[in-house]
Amino acid sequence: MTALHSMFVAWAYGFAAFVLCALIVWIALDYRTQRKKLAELEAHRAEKK
Amino acid sequence: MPKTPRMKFSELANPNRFMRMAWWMIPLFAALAALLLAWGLYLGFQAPAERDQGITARIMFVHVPSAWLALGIYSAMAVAALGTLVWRHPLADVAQKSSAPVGAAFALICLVTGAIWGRPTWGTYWEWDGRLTSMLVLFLIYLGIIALWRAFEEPLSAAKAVAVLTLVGFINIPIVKFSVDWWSTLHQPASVFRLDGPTMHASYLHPLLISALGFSFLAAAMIIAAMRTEVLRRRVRTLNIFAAGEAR
Repeated sequence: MTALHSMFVAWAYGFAAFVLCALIVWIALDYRTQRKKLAELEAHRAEKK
Repeated sequence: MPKTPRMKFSELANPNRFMRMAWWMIPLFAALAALLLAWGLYLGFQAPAERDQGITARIMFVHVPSAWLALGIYSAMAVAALGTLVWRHPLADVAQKSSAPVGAAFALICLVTGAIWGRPTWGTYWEWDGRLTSMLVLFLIYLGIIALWRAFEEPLSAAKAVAVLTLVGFINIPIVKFSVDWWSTLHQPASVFRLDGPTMHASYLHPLLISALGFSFLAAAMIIAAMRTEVLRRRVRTLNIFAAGEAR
């Protein structure tokens, strides 16, 4: 019974860790994308001036 | 000249000032979250097995903070919605947009960990009772808010529509909270935030509160990081509009 209960606990913590890690990665990638876009636009504007 | 509270509030509304604050707040909050979560979960896993539920009661240390945060983040979004509609605070809609995916993630974690906990405790993963159904409705409202943000191209138009939807959806928050008192349910009644004090044993209560504080710092770090990205996204959009105007 304890082994079965341990599996339920592991599934719950595993799912929570997966969702939170996915969210952190998504936020970090989105930040990197926007920073890159902004740098390109600013460089383009500086070239024009 | 001494700073009045109103001046301090307006300073916080300055996106440049916010970006400077975010630079140190994100790593600080993330570090506090890691420390508190490690401490809280360590204490939680040292706690003796619960008399009726055995070790499955340890799911509480992730399930309960997720539920509190799903409700708390939505309440903060409702305040931000007022900030958009009434005070026209420039960062209110940025905060609201950035909070929605974080709140949705915690609502999803609450629903799934609750279902996993329900199987050995109640003998079922799901029951259409007041607490579970209202929590599912909260998750769907979060998804609706995220979808509405994506439906508009212009952020200010989206902000107003989303603010109205957020305030309407706030009706669900007291329903989630008091559903266990209003209707018969499989879910246990509140055992921490009660007028007569917590009914939970200290060996479970202390790890629960420490974990909840850790998850709160993690949520704050993620929301501030997402807000920082949203400020950049709007700068990109403005520069693109300028570039399109110059090209004509």
